[in-house]
Amino acid sequence: MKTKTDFPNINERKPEGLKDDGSPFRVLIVDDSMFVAKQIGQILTSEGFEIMGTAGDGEEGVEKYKELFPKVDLVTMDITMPKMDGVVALQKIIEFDKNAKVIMISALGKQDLVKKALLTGAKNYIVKPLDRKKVLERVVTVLKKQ
Amino acid sequence: MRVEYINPFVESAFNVLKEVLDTELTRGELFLKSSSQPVLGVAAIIGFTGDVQGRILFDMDEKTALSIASAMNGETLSTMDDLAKATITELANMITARAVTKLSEQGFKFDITPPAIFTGKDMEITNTQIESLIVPIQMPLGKLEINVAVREQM
Amino acid sequence: MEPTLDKTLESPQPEQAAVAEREAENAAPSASKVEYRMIAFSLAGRDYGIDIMKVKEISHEGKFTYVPNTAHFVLGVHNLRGEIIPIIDLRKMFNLPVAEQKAGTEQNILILRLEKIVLGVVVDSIDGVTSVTTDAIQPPHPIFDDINIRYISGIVENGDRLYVILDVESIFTESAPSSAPVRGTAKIQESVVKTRDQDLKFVLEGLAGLASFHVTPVNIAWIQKRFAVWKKARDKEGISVQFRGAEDALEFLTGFASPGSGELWKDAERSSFLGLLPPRLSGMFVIWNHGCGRGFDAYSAVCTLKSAFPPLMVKAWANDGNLVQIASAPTLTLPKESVPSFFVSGGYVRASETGFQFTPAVREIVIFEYTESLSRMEIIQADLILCRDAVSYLPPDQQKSLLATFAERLKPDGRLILGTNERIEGEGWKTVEKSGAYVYIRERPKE
Repeated sequence: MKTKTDFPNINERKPEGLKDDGSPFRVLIVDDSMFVAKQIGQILTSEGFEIMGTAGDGEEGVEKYKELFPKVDLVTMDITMPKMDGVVALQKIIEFDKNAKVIMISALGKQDLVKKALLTGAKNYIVKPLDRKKVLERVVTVLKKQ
Repeated sequence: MRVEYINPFVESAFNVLKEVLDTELTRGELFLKSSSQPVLGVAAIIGFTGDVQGRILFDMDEKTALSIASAMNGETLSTMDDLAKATITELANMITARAVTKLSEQGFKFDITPPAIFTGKDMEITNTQIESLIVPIQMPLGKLEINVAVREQM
Repeated sequence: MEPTLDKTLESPQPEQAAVAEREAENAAPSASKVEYRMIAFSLAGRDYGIDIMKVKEISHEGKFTYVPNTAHFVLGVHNLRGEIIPIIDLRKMFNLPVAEQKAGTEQNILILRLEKIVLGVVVDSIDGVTSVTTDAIQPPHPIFDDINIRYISGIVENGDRLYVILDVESIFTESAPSSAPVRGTAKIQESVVKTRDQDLKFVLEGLAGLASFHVTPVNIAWIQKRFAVWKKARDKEGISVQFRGAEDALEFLTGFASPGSGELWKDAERSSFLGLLPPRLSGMFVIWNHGCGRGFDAYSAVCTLKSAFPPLMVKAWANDGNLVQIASAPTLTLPKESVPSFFVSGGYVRASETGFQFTPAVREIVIFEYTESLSRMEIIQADLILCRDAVSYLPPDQQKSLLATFAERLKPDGRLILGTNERIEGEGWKTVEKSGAYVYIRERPKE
């Protein structure tokens, strides 16, 4: 299979993680699972996104968002976490920044919590197990909307 | 165990394992166990609350756990470090969550607790109050036993 | 060699015994030093003893007069100086290996004089009289699998041999199967059924081995009636009474199952069921259906109750340890022909692509559980326990404990319905019969 570099390309596909000006979108990952955080990180980094920070629970997530504000372009938020779950954390972030872009990550599928999150202001959700294509699709969709 | 609960767990385990590990699976015959059980080496446990009480336990030996964790991470893990543990925990979480979603669609409300993982030799998990349903699963990576004990709150 | 704990509990070593005996002789005579004399003999390589008081004489005979229609261990009869006595081959009776003998070969026979009968037993070899002290005799122990512990009086070591002392009275005494258990003050029935009739014994063993059906006082009445019919039919055809295989065992059991089992109840069964319940029911009614299988009894009972007592709140807990059967119970789907009109007209079922299924309203009432333990049932106090034709398929000791559990788990005045051909009697149960059907009411504890 020939790679991109073999052909001069007029419309070279730009990595999804880069803004129009070439700088990367900055992502905050909030998840209590080291494994999931690593997975999301790997998927996004491979497309040029920059992982600005990782938080292991909702409380830490809110703090980090506030700290890094306004640099965070996107938050991925796990729903079930100890101390403060994703929905509560989402609420606090939205309260702090009504334009915050948060995507919920859930193993629970179309459950009440996901619905609640969307109503609270999450832009979208992704169901586990994480499929690279789907993750990128959803993330890009959310980032494109203004 | 209530009959309607059985299939969602069995199917969920099967489907998630297939998706995540992309491997061949065979399910052994289901059976009931009511005595305390020694754990194979690595056990991930998720609790149930709400209208039901009980827990689900994912039981496997260390070798299998490492094989699974390695496959899921796309790299070889040789010890049960934090990453390996987090990986197994996440697998347990996904299987349980999918089963719970299915049950919720059927009108059964299960709430789950965050997972816990135990590793170590000669561990024993005792439950004398609730009978467990055992779903044995055989993969090229190794054997995994899913052990569900759940009953209605009376 | 260091004596183990076991050894210290056993009879003392020979030298010690001798010392003890001498000391005892010097002391006052005590009962435990009584001499026990037995005839020692061997059967299939093992040593046995019989109390010498039971042995009339020893004989060597080869020719016995064959008697037809007797058990295989009855070799025939023998004329002992004018008295006709049966000759029993103990080896065959206990299913021990017997070397092929040429007909007419002389056999070693012990002539026994028992309380009710004189008979001869053929043994391998007779070793003469042996004396032991009664305190050397240990309690019966199924030390060898071949002989039932019931037939063993005790075990004794003598010299370097171990003798199993046979209780010949119990081996050869009739004990009638309990068809009429003692009422009132009797505890929940014993689980053992004793019978002398060897044919019946083989049938009982066949039922247990081939059909997992265990004969106990719960079903013995029906079994005996059935046996009589069976035997008559087989004798007429000239076939042996014994089962040739599983099909025979199942054929024997035809007619045992309660009417309506394995299907939804028809009108006759439903009205019989209602007849076993109080005429008025209100409030909450809890049913425990143990061994529910595919759910037919549970669904039938629930719908019948809802129809007869519309305001009644019914809750049913149904369980079975057979996953294959119970797995289909919650979503039980039946072809039109299998569904009696009552269920259709009552709106308890509705048609689907694959057949008729019970409505959510009905399914909400019955909770089906795959379980082998009764631990949950410790929490439920039931108004009705429905357990038809399940008890008989449990081993005797489990039957007993299940029935005891039923007694505990019923509210006072609660009712137990067993299979049509199953019975229970004992303290705390009142039997009520209505048109051939039986129900057992849990009596209030005496104040």
